[in-house]
Amino acid sequence: MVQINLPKNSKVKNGNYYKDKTNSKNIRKVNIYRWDPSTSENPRIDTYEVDMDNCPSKILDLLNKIKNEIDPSLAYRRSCSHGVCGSCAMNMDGKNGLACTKPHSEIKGDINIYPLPHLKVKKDLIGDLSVLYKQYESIEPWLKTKTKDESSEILQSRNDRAKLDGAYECIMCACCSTSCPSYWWNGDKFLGPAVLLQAYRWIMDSRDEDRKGRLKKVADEFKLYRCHTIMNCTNACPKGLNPAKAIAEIKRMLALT
Amino acid sequence: MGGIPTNYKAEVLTINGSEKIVPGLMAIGEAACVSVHGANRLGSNSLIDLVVFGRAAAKRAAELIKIGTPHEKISENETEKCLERFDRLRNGNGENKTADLRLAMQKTMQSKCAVFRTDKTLKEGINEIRKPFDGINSIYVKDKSLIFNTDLVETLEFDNLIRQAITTMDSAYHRKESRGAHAREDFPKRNDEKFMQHTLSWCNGKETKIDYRPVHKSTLTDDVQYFPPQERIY
Repeated sequence: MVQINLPKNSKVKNGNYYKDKTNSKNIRKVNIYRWDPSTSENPRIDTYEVDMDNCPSKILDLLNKIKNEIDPSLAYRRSCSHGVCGSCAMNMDGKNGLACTKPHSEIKGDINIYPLPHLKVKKDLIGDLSVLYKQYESIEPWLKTKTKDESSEILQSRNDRAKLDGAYECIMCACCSTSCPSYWWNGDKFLGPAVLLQAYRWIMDSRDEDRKGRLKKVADEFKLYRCHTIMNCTNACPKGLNPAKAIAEIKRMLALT
Repeated sequence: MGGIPTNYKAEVLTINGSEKIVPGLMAIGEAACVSVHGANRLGSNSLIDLVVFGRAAAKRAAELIKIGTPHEKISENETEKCLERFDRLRNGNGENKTADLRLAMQKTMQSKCAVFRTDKTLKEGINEIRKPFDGINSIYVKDKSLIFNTDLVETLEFDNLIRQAITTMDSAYHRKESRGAHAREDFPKRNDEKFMQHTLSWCNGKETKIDYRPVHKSTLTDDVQYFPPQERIY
């Protein structure tokens, strides 16, 4: 009989507790997933008591406050702080989003912060996105033209340009792909909503001359058709985009050709 | 505006009597000062650095580099210097947290070297900005690991930034006029006679040496004439 065990390091333990030292009357408990790859220790949940009277409104502010004032060893990605770079994507209160645009006032009770689900963790809140980037590269996200004449611009009508609305705004934060059960299951072969939305963006570009080739490339039972319209992607997108609709559009185009 | 001085081919310049190219060193974009923007780089004008000088730098590099040339040997000394700095900061066990020193630097720059400066604020700033610099001697880095160590990265960044801040403060103090983004309330007018030149600064720890390099007053072709700067009036 086969006995199935989870790997030993899959168990998340209780970690350190950092008590408030400011004597604040307005304290919130923040539980954060920690894992240090340079030790053989299991992941742990560290708990920080944070003085909310002196903390700006977003989850990223909260993390910065913890890193600057309580524990500098906490590792997370961040860059622009206003929702345009996609670096600080993580799982907050059980939902994927950008730490810099998510107000902590929206979360009731203790604040639980984890890395994006189902990615290999590099450290603490930092997930390994290298598979996603390889998949992004595989859809060839650049303009492909056959004409060699590079002496003038390639013009685009306003209508054609408008077809890219809802697709070009994607910041590749991976909130959608890492919320998708199909991507959790077949993340190595299914392209996932983020990359398929980008595939759609290039298929729809009126200036591109490889639409047929692009469609043919994604028409694969894994790459595209592992999408079962679960719609978690659209629910997760912090930019309010609709990857599920873009995937449906690709399927429709393939069905009609 | 500020940056590493370069010519229009993105080659870094220094002065040694006269303008001289530093062989093999190029700078571009926000790191560089090609001197096309004058004393203030207005929004969106960064596009010229992307489109024009990105191309120029690539072309110049292709001219300069002979295929198959090995890299010049780096002296053991230089490698040691880098590793020593890395280890010193990583093993810092003092009492100053990087975040606290950085905040002190930010507050000093904001209050003493802000958009509008005076002799008084800059003079105070010159002393004050050196305090967080001294704090590095007793810096504390909690995370000693070697994988995704953001604590260490922020410390290395701070070590770079504080030198930049000292340079900025000292250069601003010595420029006793208003020009572009440098607005001195005690010297509201531009002084072309004395200051129509670039500030050059050498930073060695917390000591700086300030010197000047003249601006170019000629064009590269005869198609357009040289426009002398004039007073900005509204």
